Amino acid sequence: MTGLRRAAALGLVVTLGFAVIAVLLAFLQGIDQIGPGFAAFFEGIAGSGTSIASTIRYFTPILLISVSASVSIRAGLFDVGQVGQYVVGGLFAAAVGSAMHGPGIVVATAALLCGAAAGGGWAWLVGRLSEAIKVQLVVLSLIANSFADGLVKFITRTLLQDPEAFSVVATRALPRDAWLPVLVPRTSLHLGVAVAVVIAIAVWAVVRFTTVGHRLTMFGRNPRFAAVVGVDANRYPLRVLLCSGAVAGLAGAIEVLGVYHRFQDGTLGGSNSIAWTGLTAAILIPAGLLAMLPASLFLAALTTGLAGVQRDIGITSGLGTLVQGLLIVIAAVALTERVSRPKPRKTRPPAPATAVLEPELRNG
Amino acid sequence: MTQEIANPATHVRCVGVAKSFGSVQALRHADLIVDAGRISALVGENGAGKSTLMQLISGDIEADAGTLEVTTKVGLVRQQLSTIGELTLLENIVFGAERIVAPSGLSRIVGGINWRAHRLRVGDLMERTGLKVPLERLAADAPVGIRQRADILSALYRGARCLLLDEPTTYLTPYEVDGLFEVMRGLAERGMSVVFISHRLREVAQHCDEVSVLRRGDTVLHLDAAPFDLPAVGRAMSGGSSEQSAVVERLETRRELGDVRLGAAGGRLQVRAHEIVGIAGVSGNGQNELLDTIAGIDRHAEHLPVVLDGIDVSRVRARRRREVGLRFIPESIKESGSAQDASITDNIVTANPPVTLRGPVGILRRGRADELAAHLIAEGDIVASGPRQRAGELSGGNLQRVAVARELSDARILLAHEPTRGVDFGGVALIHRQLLAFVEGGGAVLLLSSDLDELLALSDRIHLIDRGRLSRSYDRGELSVARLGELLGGLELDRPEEVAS
Repeated sequence: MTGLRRAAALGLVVTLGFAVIAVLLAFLQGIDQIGPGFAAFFEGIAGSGTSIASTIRYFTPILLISVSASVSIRAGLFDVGQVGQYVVGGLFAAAVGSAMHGPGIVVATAALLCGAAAGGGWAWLVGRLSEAIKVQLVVLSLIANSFADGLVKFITRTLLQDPEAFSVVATRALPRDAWLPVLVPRTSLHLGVAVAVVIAIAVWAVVRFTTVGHRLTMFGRNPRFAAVVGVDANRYPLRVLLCSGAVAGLAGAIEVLGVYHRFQDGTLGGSNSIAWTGLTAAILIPAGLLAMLPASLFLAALTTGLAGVQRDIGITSGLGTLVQGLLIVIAAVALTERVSRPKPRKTRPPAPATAVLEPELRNG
Repeated sequence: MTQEIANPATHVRCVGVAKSFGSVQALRHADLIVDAGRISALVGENGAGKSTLMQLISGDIEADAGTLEVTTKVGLVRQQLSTIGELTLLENIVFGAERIVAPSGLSRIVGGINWRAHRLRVGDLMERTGLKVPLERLAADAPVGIRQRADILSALYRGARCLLLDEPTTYLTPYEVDGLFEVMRGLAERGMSVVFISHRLREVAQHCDEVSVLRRGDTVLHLDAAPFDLPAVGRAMSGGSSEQSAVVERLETRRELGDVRLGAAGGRLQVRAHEIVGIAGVSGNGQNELLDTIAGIDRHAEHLPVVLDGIDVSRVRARRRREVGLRFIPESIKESGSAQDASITDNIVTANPPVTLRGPVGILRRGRADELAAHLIAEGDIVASGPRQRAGELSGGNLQRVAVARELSDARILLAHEPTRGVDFGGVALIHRQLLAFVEGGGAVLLLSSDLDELLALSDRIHLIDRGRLSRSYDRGELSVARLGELLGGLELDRPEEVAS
């Protein structure tokens, strides 16, 4: 299945998933609540300018995180540390943005770049550690997510705490002119979505059309082969992590500059982090990069739609998460490529013997 | 299928056996009769159906048509050794046959294994057959020849009376090959039967009692008394044209001392332009490490001084070394010389493709890459449906040719590890011609091959490698296959601990 076809399949699954929601609504709230429930679902996604903006606001980090994860998956690196990179990126962007003085555009650019650098650096560090202590990247990067969460909380509280915010662990707010401009007034739709879409398309183009992308793909397919034809297999994985981590870090920076305007503990990281949703998209469609656009949109819509149902019908928030998880499991099953027929046995194992005829034969 | 076997001493009787896999007809009409006390050779080119026939006899797969009778227990020793590196050789031999010996005492209750009894029985088997292996050694630490013996012991331990050896001599030195056949002869004299699959007619002529030739799934020739008419066997294998004599005579015209130099191992290894330097040795003696070091792939390797084309690249990475013109054909193309899921084109485009394939801003010109691939497919005589065919769909030999074609294009210094492994006669000749044309044009080749004929036919000088150390270089005139075998054998004798239990 190609990436786009997988995305279409994902869309189908999401549609099918409505049935699940309907059943759950009927079961929990009574059959008469199905109609209003679905109304609330679609209201939540696109019922008003505000809800459209909200869907797109979720779409932005999901897209960037999914692109970030896709790049590392494509190189054969199973890095699940995007949540950590996202959080660290957000914190650094907030730290730089709130400390810097100058024209808004300069501060914003510096903050975004620092966020990206921090995310990349974090990914690199985790990758390096994974090599040094010989723990699989998937394990260590997962652990590193919680560690990043704790670390940024600690740094925020000890170094960057806003003295005026008493009840929350948060940095000071960024100067207003450094906020990402809002595209539609009185909504949360900010410039970040344009940045995300441009980056997604750019990454796709690089991977699809350039020698850099060819190297990445070949390394993912067979790192030993890539080493033979000139990829520095010892350093390459860390470089990939640096780049993919930078994209995740940028996602965090965009959230800070566009939505929260400060770094606040619990907004980016944690088990409810939107970064998990982005990672989910990348894992569901491992070969796709362009396909991350529709896939991220679906997942964002699912998020805001369920939020709408929660809000209007009054199901608990845990249930929304449960439904989302359920849908993703269904999607994973639907998208998994099954071996439909047993492959014929290999009849001719590559014979390493060489064939050089006898001297007698040559002469005779 | 239930015909009586005329001769009670016949272990295996195949008549007109056919087998296809999908659209591929692996066997059409294969005949093979294996009698007790005999060593039968089964020869044929790549893809002739030898391995399929062995799998049929061993019961791994079932025939589509024909008569196949097997009257005794058959043991198949595969070409790819099946020993598990993390286990000791004893554990490998007993693996899957633990219940041959009933566990005693407590271990019967907990389902344990009576290792003491197994060790005694395997020891006894080694004594009787003369196949000695160090039982307590980890398989990963044992040389290939020893691991192969363990595989044979494992088959015998299960009570096999008919041994099928699929290309058993591929990894062995002539010295080891002689040892192997001595053991096989001993087994045959005890009433067992042996089927020996090979490409190498010399070994067949020396050691076997009868020979059957498979060509494209048909048994085309059977000779049941030595001495064999080897030219006839060769013709039968290749389909009649005796033109396909594989060794290309060494071209003698050669200028002296070009400017391509390559030094490793303290400068003791030098390959000049217009020169092929061979390295002979039992596999696992540091060949891979040497090549990885020269190619700059292994970061953890000791920093050996390597000078390519007058430039010291000791501390320069693989990519830069390739820019100097260094190319590398690794030992196993499937594992490290290709990306199976990628197209032939993708397999031909290297990490730093030549400028002709590059457009602005790092764009890879896939159209041109396809053209290049098509050109190399044609020139390398590669059987493929086109540049976009998946590399994993190619046969081993064709995959090898893809790697050779890729590495030879714009090379100046070539490291070739088993460049003709898995390639059939015609292909071998072509690759040899390509290598010779390459050095003729000023290239330098470092050739590592387990095929001594190939080494001698192509190399100007030959080093031996043993436990990571290189010998002095021998000029081609100093050496013959026999002499080389003796030298390698001598190296083996220096290591009694490898053989003693």
